[in-house]
Amino acid sequence: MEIDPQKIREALRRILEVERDHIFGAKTGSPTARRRELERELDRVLTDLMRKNNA
Amino acid sequence: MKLERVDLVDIRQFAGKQSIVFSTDPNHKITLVHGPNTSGKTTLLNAVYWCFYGNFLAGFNEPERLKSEQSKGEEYSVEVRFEHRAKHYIARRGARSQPDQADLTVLEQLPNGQLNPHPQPELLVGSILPETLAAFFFFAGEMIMKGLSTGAYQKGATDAIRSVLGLKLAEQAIEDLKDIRKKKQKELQTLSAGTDLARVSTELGEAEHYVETRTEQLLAQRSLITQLEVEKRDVFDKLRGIESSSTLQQRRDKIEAQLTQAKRTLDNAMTARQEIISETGTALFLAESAKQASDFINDAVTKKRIPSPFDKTFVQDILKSQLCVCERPVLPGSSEYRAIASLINSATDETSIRRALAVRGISERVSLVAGEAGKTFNRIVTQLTNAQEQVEGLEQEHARIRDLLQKHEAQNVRELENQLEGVESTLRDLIVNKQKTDDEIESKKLEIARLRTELDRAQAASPQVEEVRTGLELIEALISSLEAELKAVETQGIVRITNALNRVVGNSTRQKYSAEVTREYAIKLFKSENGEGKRPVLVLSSGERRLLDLCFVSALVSVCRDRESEINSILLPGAVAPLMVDAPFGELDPEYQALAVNTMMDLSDQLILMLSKTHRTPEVDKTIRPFIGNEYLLIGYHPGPAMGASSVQIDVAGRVYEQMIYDADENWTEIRAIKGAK
Repeated sequence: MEIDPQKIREALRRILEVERDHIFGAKTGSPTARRRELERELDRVLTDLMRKNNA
Repeated sequence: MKLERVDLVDIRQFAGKQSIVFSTDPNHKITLVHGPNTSGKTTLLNAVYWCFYGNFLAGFNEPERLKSEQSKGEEYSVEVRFEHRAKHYIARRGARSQPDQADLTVLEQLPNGQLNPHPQPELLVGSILPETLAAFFFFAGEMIMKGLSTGAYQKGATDAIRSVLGLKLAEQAIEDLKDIRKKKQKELQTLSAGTDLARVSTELGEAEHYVETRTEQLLAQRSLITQLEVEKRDVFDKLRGIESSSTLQQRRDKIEAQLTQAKRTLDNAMTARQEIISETGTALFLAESAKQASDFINDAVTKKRIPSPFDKTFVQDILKSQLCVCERPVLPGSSEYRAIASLINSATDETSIRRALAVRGISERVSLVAGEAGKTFNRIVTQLTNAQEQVEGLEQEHARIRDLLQKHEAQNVRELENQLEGVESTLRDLIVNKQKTDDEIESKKLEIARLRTELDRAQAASPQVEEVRTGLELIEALISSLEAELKAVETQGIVRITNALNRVVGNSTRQKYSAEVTREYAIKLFKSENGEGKRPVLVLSSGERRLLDLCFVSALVSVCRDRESEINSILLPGAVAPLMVDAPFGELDPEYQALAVNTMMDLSDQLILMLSKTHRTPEVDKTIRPFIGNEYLLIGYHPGPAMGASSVQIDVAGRVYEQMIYDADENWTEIRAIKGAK
């Protein structure tokens, strides 16, 4: 499936925001927690992608 | 960011509550702390670092014993007041037990005087000066990235540059995405278990894992090769520096340069031979047959068989009409009819003429190409032979020099040469292995591309599979996008650090030195003397090493400052922070000490210098004196008698102070203000 470049940029922005939060607040989240949060972000983008694709 | 004040409560030798007020005056940006060895300069530096990050700088001894032995209370703490973008904050870290179990609190001082606790203190401190960058602003000269500019620097320098460029954020994101990709691939395998899809997914996962592992090995091999090359150059430089081996080594330098050039010529000739074979090999192979075909057709033309005097259509028309051009009847079965019909075999039509001429044209072209290619091929073979002979000759000369050095009368030369042989042998093996790894990775990448195409075909139209697959595609796209951006940023960043490094080196060394950061993050120092052009400095004196370390850190700080206002979503931001430096000038030549301190002043809006007597040379004092805002003494109190130890005194601006008091009640250090805030 062709993924809209706009969606890739949006996902990238969100992922880097999560990373930034976790790097700056290093004591607040374990790597596992960080990856779980990243997965949630990716799932959100993916759900949106699938919905648009099926519409 | 500017530091305003630090309050220490029962921190190591600083018993009780003691404070330093830092100068924030832009015209007197230096806060100078004088302290003899073991008086607590390093503790002071680490106390501020601990307050912000809960950690200590590399080389700080026994961090678990941070609490003062003279402490009468339960808690020990460090409080740092600082200003950032017109806001004032109080950061405080206090502990009752171990230092690593202390929490950070940050209060914001509001204009009405109210103190507002920040909900995420680590986040705030990290966003002002990330810990990855802090080590370049708070550093101990004695410990600063030990060996940064020597053979062992590689990892330290690489980490430092990548931190300063802010690459860690994107690198972390790539690592996380790869981890999630693995998880998704497993999910896909479970969904498609028992199908062809499962097999292809497994193979793909394995191939990708293989590439990842081999790439890590490749990086390690590259790093090791760089280290060994530095080691080899070190030995060369030592041999060049020994009078009895200097001439031979210089001869070898020339041979090595010529050998590199000759090997390049040999490689080029081999590539050219390969190319000409693949481009014109067929023509060479067919040249003889083409010539025969061409000769045959030319012979037929000469003998007027091509084109034939009889046109095939003309002969067929006569037979069909049964009437000759002379109007005599040509009846089937008659001798005339048979005679005319026999002409059909030697008659030609337009198509056969065209074909024969086309074959002749092609044959002639093949002969022409083969002729030209043959000449070029012979020329390349000559080049190849010459280059091979040159390489062999140079290698023999190289071996001869090695032999002479291995049998040299001086033992140190023999030892160095044997050491070199070991290094070169390992290096050769490593280079072969690296090439092998490179080839294997490339070949596996081709397999990955094929498996991906196969996977696409094998995908069932199941919506669940489709969703996971799209997720994987999204992750792939994100990884590729991040990697591409990172590479571009990294390339620009290295140029930027090289420029900054050269600016600093130029300012600090009166243009005798220049430096270069390579793509592999190796730092190379060059020296220009007596108009002889620049030559690499391969073995650094301890003074040169310290100078390069200082210049490197200064360059990093300069890039950090420049990047503070830049907005780039894939990078961590830069930072502007005070430089807090402990004993930076120890091994610097006096002529460089003042230049180094000038460089530091140029790079920072606030400079906190902690100097012992040996670091505060007259040159340094003269340079910094006009810019000192606040000045402190660290005075050591010792419970026993002097026992013959000479008094420790310091002269500051014409006044003499005792820095060690004996027969005191306890062992501790006093922080005493002698200029500025008291």
